[in-house]
Amino acid sequence: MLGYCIGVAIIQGVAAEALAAALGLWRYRQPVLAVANIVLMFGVVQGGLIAGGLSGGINAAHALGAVTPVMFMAGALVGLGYEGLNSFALDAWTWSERPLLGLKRPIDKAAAVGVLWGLVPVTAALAASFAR
Amino acid sequence: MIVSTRNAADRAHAIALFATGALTCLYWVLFFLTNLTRPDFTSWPESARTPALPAVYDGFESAFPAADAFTGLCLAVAGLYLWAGDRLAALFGLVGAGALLFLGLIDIQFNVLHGFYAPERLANDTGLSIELIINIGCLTFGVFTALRMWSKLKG
Repeated sequence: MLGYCIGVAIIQGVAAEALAAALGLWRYRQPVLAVANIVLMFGVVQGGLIAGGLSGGINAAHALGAVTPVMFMAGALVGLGYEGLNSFALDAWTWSERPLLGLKRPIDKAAAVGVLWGLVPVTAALAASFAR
Repeated sequence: MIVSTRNAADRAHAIALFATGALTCLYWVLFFLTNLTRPDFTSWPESARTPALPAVYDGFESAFPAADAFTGLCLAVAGLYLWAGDRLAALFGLVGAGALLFLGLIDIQFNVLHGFYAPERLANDTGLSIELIINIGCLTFGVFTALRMWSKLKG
């Protein structure tokens, strides 16, 4: 289950970065940071720790569906912290001038994308449960 | 890079908002992965139980994760905007504080009706003690955040 979750999350990361590059939504300070984001944040944190940890750890009394709101919350909270850290301190990537989901200000984009991170572990766990 | 606020009180409140979201999340991670937050009666042998109470408790608790996720994320987003010194902190802060008070009051009424605040129960049950701390935290931090965000909204 853990391997499937990490794999699905990395696929999501590659797709998200490819889409962002094609649409010019954000730019990394160094290209290697995009790879680190896909492997570490998508794969290890969202796929491994959150999706794999929660779906693998729940006992038989709880269905996967019961824990998905918690997965979303955990993924989004980590995402908000990550986007906030980048916005206020790291500056590893910067938003382009193009609107994202109708949002133009960097702080609004950081908040929206932070919450959207919650979808990564949920979809990874659900896809992994179907793939098994 | 976004410039953060220089107001120390806003920074502290932003951290508290984010921490409340994180603690809400931690509660549910522990709920699903361990027995730490669960009252003792949910793991008593069948013969020692008040019939139906564990089922009632589990049914009641199972309704909360999505609403708690909404509340925790509103508070965390409010924290992000507050750290930036952005006026949208008031909007998300008021929504989050209202949701926190709503969830806290539902929990408190359930606990009062089932006698979960009885001193002899609280003294010997880690899960119920954690519940009490959470309930007090929901009310105090909900009221504090609502009042502070309301004052920011008024300008």
